[in-house]
Amino acid sequence: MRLRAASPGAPSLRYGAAWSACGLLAVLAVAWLPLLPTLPALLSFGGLSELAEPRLRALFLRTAAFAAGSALIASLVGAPLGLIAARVRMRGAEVLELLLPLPLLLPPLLIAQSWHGLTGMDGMSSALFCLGLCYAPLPALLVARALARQGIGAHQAAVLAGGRRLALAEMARCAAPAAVLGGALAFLFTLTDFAVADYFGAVGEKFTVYSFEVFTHWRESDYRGGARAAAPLVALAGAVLFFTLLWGDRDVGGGGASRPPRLGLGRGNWIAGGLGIALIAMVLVVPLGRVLYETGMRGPVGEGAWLARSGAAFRDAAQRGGPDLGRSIVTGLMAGALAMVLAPVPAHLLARMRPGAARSLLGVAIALPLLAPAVGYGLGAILVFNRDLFGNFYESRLLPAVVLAGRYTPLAVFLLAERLRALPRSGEQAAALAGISQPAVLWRQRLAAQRPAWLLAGGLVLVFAIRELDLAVLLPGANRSAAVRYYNALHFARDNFVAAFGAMIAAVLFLPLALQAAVRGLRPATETA
Amino acid sequence: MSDPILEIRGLARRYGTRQVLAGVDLALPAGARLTVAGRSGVGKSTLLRLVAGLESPDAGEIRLAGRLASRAGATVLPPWCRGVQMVFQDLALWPTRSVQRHLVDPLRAHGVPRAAAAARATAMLARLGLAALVDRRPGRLSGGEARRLAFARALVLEPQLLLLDEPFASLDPVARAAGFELLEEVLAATKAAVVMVTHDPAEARALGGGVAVLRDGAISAIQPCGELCANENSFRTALES
Repeated sequence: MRLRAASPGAPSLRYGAAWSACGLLAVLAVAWLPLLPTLPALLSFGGLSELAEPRLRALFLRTAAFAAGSALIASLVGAPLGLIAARVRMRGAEVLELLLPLPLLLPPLLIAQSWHGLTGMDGMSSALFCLGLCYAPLPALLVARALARQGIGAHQAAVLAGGRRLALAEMARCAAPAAVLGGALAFLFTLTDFAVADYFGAVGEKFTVYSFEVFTHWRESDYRGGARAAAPLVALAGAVLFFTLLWGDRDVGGGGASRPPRLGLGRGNWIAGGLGIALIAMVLVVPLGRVLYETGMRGPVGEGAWLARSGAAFRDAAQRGGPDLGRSIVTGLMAGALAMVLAPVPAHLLARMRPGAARSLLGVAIALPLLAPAVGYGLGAILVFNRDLFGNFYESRLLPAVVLAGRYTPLAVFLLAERLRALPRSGEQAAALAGISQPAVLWRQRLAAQRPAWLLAGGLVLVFAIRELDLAVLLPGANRSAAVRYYNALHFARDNFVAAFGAMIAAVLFLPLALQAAVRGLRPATETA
Repeated sequence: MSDPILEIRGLARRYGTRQVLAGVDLALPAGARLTVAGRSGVGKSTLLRLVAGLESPDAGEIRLAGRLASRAGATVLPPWCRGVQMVFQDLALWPTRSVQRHLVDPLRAHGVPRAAAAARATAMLARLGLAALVDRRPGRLSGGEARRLAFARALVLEPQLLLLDEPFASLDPVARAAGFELLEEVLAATKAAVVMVTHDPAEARALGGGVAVLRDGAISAIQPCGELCANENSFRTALES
């Protein structure tokens, strides 16, 4: 016999499992539908047979090596940056920590544009370098987060027993899984990237990566072939993510509620400070600075001094690009809101599972929309939704919102799962004993306790939806978006309108985090040891 | 006459608006044993962290073997140069290091050659009954074994002053009895002065030496443990009065 709630208004526990299943089905319906054309090739290994062709096999291996190189750069830049920002006691460390997520919000094309403008770099090595910088914030943020949760006692014991050297070594051990996960994510995003490689191939020495193969199918209107061609990338990305999650589930300590103190490095503080400034400059200050500088350079509008030309460029950008940016924001808001509805149930399930193969497998399943190249995901969406059954939905602005929510909901799920995991189970168990239903526990208790993280998850999806280019190029309802206008403007001319519009997009993307930081305020510095 | 191993004068520490320690004075001779007793939240652990150099005082100073270690707003001697080791309440073991490396790595960080570090670690592990577990990680140790490892890590560096932060708190009676046996072994293995914080008279009895009661941010006169700890009621009265 099942328990019933003591209070007449409270729902019964029996709805818990059914409700969870409905929640998961909703996520699968939104996030997995565009994957349907790819899944048969993936599950039957049919897509992998394409790799039997020597040209494709060579291209695939070269792309994997390209992504590995980018991941290495991302880790080498991001991991020390995360450690310095989160745990080294030095002047301005809090500001550095506050800046840490911002580079991740910049469109990769903007970073590519600025580094190309600054150095004239082009070709494959430049794409590798820029993608490494684009995704360096992933290991940086994950390392910073892991180190913020290192056990205070373990850190202080290391300081006491072995000084700075042992404390740094212990931090490195604690952060290693996070750094590897960040590097793996950089690998996955680079593996499926199209726009940056396309840009550097267009401005200089031509080269190809595997996602071009998927795009070529789209240009030839062979949507099914494109979706099928994406399968090897999804398979490789899924395998890498599975083993990374499995390895990262090791116990490295931490999980404490309080943040451990920052470590003073003595004279090493100068080196750490210099390195931190240099790294944040590479991933954020230089690209943004260069783009802002270019707003006052040559262009179709503005005369006179740099400031006058820059002002004119921003006015022009607001006038010509403003409506597109507005549409992108609305689409992003819809995608973010949908992700906030979809993410809690899978996040809750993921948070409750024990570490191991099953949790890693569920993680990969949830992440699948992110593992496919955006071009392949978009082709899948075209194949699924471009039917009479869906009427005007295919052409509407609702479709991009749904597809973008499907692609980026995994980010919201992982962020939320990590925060929900930190909540003690005892509250949930007490609620269960009191007869409160699982939905009520999740929505009124656990999500309420992590409301800022829930909002941040929605904000993250909003930002990624606004900066998404590859999908926006493919979906008719998203063609008139900020990302597409920026892409077209950059390819046809490199003038101060492009720079001003890029800066405007960046400012909009920074807004959610800026608001969150303003609400939260700068964390006070922790002292000692 | 030699300097006391630990000398504290006018020590104060505040967290926000809460004054935790307000003028602690204490002198501890080399090799002495002292229990700092007090109710929860009176600043016992804060006092240990200040002595270890993990925090800086707001006022007052700490001297270790005559050397200025901390003064108002500054940690003069860094924690690892004080000759002080500590057993943390949660043991604070390192999850990714083996039992052996819990001892070898601190020794190596102090410049002990690899072979000598390994030999010292092996000897200490044997002494505390952990010789068979050298390759295990903390996650695969029992509670008692983990506690032994925490003591072994603190002792292998041969500190002059050993700080124990409620090392037997929240243990069941059987585990506590085993803990007291361990303490006896530890005391036999070291010539270091020992300061333990607790609110439990049985733990104070197990350590012996003197008892200083921490109350209202200051330490009362040190009393012999025998008188104060013999009766649980008198101990409780001393903490509360």
